[in-house]
Amino acid sequence: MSLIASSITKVYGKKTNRFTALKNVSLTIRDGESIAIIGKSGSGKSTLMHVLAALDRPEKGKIEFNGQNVETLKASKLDQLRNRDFGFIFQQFFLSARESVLDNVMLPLKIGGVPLRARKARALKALAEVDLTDKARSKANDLSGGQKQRVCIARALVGDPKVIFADEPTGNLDSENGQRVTDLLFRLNKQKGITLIIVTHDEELAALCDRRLHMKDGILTEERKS
Amino acid sequence: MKMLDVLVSANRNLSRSKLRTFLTISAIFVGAFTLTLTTALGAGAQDYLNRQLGNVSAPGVFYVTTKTGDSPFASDSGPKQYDPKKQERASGRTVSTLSQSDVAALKKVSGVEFAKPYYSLTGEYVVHGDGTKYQSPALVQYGGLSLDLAAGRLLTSNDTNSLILPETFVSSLGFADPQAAVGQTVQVGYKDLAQHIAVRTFTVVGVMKKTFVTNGNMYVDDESANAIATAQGQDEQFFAAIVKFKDPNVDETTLKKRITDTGNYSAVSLKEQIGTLTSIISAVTSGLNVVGGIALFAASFGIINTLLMSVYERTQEIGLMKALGMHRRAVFSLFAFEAVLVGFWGSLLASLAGWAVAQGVDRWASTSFLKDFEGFTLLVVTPLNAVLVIALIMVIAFLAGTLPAIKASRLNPIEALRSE
Repeated sequence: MSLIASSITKVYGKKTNRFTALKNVSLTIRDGESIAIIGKSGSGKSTLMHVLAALDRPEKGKIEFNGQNVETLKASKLDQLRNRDFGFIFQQFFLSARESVLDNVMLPLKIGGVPLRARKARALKALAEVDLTDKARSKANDLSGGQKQRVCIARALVGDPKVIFADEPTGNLDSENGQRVTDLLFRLNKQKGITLIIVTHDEELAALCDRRLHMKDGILTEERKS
Repeated sequence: MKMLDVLVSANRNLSRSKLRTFLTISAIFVGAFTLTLTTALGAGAQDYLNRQLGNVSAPGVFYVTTKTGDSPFASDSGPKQYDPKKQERASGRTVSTLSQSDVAALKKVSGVEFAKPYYSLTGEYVVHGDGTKYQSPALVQYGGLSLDLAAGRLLTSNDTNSLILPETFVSSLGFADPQAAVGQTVQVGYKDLAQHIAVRTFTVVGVMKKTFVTNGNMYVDDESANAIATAQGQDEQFFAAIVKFKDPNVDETTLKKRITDTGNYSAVSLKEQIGTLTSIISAVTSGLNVVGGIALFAASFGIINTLLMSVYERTQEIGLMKALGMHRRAVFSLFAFEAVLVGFWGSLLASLAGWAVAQGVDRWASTSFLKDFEGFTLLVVTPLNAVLVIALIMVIAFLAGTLPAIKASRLNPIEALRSE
């Protein structure tokens, strides 16, 4: 796995409201790395993640995933790429509250067209990974915040992704649950070799990553782990 | 995403907000129910008409009369010279008649199987055995109509001294039921030219149901009709002739032209005769269908509204699904399916309800205001019509669903996820 961004510029709005979120950002992410993108709100860190995750298209520059130029991919191939190779974790969880935990975890596989039987087996495996097998039949709404985020990790994990993008994964959690989620993410990173790209405010979480990328006003500065 | 999964998800989404789904389905239900009943009414009337006249299945048969060239009502017309070919009617209107030479000419028209006078003769009485004599209905020469029979069979060209009895005469003449009358003999009295009453004995070959078109007619075979017409002196002058062509597959207008080209004739097919009635019925039913259509039109806005609300409510969910790789087309299908499902359930329930109501109304009508119209089922819900109504409404629902579905499919995943 390799993810290379070269001279990315991303602009929002038009004319007077014009706002440059990313200014000539270049970056190479190698297989199995853990990367923290740090910065104040509005610094462009979320935009960088969206562009890297092929959710957003930059105005200038090139994103290459495994040597393939993402810009030239058709919409359906791009959807397939996100579905199969990427996993997503969000601060606000985005679980379907009234559906079961199992249904929530199966969603990416359902979208990917995996048959029901295989879907269930893989989702249960992913739930076992985050230690929530016993909650498979519960409604997502009945879980605690920490459990919800673990369900989200299971959902990100279920498609055997090469990269997991996590947007403030511990942002809504207390320190104990935050620690648990952090441990889980790094265990996946170490054991399965899944590349982690984490957008965070959390200094402790960032400190655990191989590389810390600081975003300020759309400009990237890197700080190596000593 | 698999189609089945899209369908299952759509169904689940609908059941998530039950009240709203129920109300939207109700709106569709009203329109579909109206449409079901109006088509049932149309089908009932058409079915009755077809059975009463039965003759849509008699292609190639025409009633031929002379073309009335000069209008009897024209104000500038002075006293007219006597013309033995024109018969004065009681109303004072002159009607041109046909003669045997016309029939002979019609027989020569290419492709004609038979041409014969269409006699409508006056009888005096009908009686069975030594029973009471009843005033005779008009004696009409049987011309190939497929009449709605209660018992027995239709007349053929080989029959002699045979007739088809109207059902109303069955009990009066002393028969237990229509079946009992078949094969029995009745005597019909008629006046000959000398005003003497002659009697002819007929065998009843069939009993026909009461109809509003053939009411008061008694159909007799060709041979008997000819004999009575000769006795009454009507065989030289009659109002119409029946012409039947051999090949029923030839276009009706072509056949008609062959007749009108032969002489000063005008031809009306059996189909055209009931065509007027059919067009009245279809005018009434299409008027009612418009009402159903308006209800559906309003209901389709209900679908648009419901689904748009649903799109706004589920913006984050849609954003997430798109982020996780759901294709635009799949998002579109998801919402389009929801709309189609609303249409399906609404129209299915409406068809079932319409069918149930039709059963009730028909049972009531047949004992009250439709008592005298035997065989008239007011509302006929046919499976084909039900399927067509359901299909039509599913199409309408789909069209209504496209706007919200396109809106959902075009959502930008990042913006959608950011929305609160």
